[in-house]
Amino acid sequence: MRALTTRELVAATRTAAVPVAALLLLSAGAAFVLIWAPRMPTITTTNLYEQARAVQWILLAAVLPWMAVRSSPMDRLDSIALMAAVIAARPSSAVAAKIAGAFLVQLFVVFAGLPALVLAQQAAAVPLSAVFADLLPVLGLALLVAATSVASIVLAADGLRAAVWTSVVVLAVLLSALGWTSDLWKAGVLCAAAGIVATAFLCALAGGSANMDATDAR
Amino acid sequence: MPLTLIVGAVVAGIIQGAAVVPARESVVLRADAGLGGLARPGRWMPVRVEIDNRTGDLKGEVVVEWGDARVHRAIDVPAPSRTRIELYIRTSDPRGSAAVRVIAGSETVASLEMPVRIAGEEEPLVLCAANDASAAVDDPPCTVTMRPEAFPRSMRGYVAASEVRLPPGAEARLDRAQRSAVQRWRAFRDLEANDLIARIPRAPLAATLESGAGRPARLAAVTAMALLLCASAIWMRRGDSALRSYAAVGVASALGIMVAAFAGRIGPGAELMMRQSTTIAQIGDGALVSMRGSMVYPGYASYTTRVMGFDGDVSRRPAEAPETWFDVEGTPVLDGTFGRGARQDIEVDGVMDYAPLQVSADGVVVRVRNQSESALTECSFPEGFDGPRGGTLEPGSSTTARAVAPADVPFFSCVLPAPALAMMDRRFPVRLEGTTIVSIRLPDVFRAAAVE
Repeated sequence: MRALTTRELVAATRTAAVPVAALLLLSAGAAFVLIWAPRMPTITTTNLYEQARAVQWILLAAVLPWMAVRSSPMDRLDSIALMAAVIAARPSSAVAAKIAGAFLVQLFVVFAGLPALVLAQQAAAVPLSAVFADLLPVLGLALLVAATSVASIVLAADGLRAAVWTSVVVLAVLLSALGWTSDLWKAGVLCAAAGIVATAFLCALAGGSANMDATDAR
Repeated sequence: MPLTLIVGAVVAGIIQGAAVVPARESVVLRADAGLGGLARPGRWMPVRVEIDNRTGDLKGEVVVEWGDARVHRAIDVPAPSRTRIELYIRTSDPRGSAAVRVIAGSETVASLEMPVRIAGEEEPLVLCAANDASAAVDDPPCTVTMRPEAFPRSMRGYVAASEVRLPPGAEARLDRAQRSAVQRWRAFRDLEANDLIARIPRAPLAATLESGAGRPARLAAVTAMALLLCASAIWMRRGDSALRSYAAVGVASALGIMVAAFAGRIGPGAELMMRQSTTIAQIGDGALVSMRGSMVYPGYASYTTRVMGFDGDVSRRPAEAPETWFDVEGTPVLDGTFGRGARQDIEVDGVMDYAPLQVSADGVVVRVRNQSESALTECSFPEGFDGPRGGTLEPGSSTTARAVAPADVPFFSCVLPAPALAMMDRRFPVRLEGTTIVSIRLPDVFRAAAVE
């Protein structure tokens, strides 16, 4: 399982998706804090940090699905089952490892965007600890993106389609969550729940597929 | 076992030391407000507070409330000792009583309600020294009689009075601060009686500083971007280990966070910026000071900014109600936690020991001397004088002018190259910029000649 997660992390370093996504996130976040927010009248009464946090969610929802698909190897379900057989693991574990790897890669991108949030936090006189506490719901979003991107890669035939599917699903879940609650914490929890469901579904699918293959082989 | 407990308790007590716990019963509070209980709306009212602390050191604050106004003064009274403080409070919404509270921690250890009688705007308020023989015969008669020792020690304490009567015997009983305060009040009263307060040459209002992201924040953002670009370059290098790629992004992000968190608090730009316009009108051996300005804070931190050598109020603008703070020494303080680039508009009103100009008259010739240690620029005599306009007055030098007609604005004014008020913060240097105008009233030589 660890080997498959490491493989996912190593594969991500072979593409430019992670640094491009990180640079996009940081530059857009910093531009909002330093250029947009001071010049444009605000439509909400929330402070700059809360606004920057909302912008960060929008950016993450836009960037992470693309980055997750681009940085992950295009493994189909049968190749995952094969890899699982090579390392004597269950296919569901291999899928879980792939999702874990995609999740870890996204953490680096989220972390790289934090300086922009810290700039907003310093301007809004909010404790620095709030920035790190507010990372927890972002982890829910990252889990949803990781699970959805792996599912899309497994089910779709090509990268573009996988990226579009991932984006659509993530946006649909996020908008549904935000339609239900405006609290980003609760939205993060809902995203995490959706991510767990997607992971379970994918693991079950991989397990079922492996059983079918074994039956066919017999 | 009990012996062990006793020894443990004793040792713990020795290690911990004596706790500073104010005892309610041990603090005796005495206070009186106004000039013999009289005050006027919109004018400073003196409040004399005496705290007799008998047991347990007392650290906290004295809070005076009158109408919607509130004054806080930090106190540190060791036991047993007695301390006297004089506070000044003003409100445009006065009430028939003022309250004094002594607060230690969050607990009120003593409080007092003082009656205040509000004098009408046209009602004379004649303050006389006790045992003044003229008290009964003069017209108008004394409204309030006080012992000379109880006279306010700041000119602000007299601004509600329409007259202060001090026979020579009583004046000798005043201390230096009281004598100076009365002298300044007389000069102030002279300006007020001649309707000259509104005609004092004022410094033009300074453009307010822009709040928001300053140079440190922009520098931090650029640094974070540059660090991430370097990490990206390492990431993109073929053949490097994956660990190195992730380490590069991780380190760049961590450094970016640190730079974003500390920008403005250390390094270039770590200073409070104050843009102000100050009007100083010399009265006696001091000056009336009115400053309006805006302050921009360099980083997210708690600030304690003091206005040094100043006797007056420093308040935030806009404020729901006038509220001012003073430290243990009585220095005006502005406390608060502000974010990076936050702007605070500030008002400063009061008196200071600053008298750079000296005026003398010989017939219709008026001479003004710069007795300060700094050069004064753009010095001008007003209309009605044939003296120079716009010159520099070096330290110790003088300028003269001949009065040719009664002056409508009888003030000689100069521009101070450096601010007269000094502001200090606990952690950050304070940079003041703006215009300071100092002026002094010129004698009405025509009226003097007519009287002669």
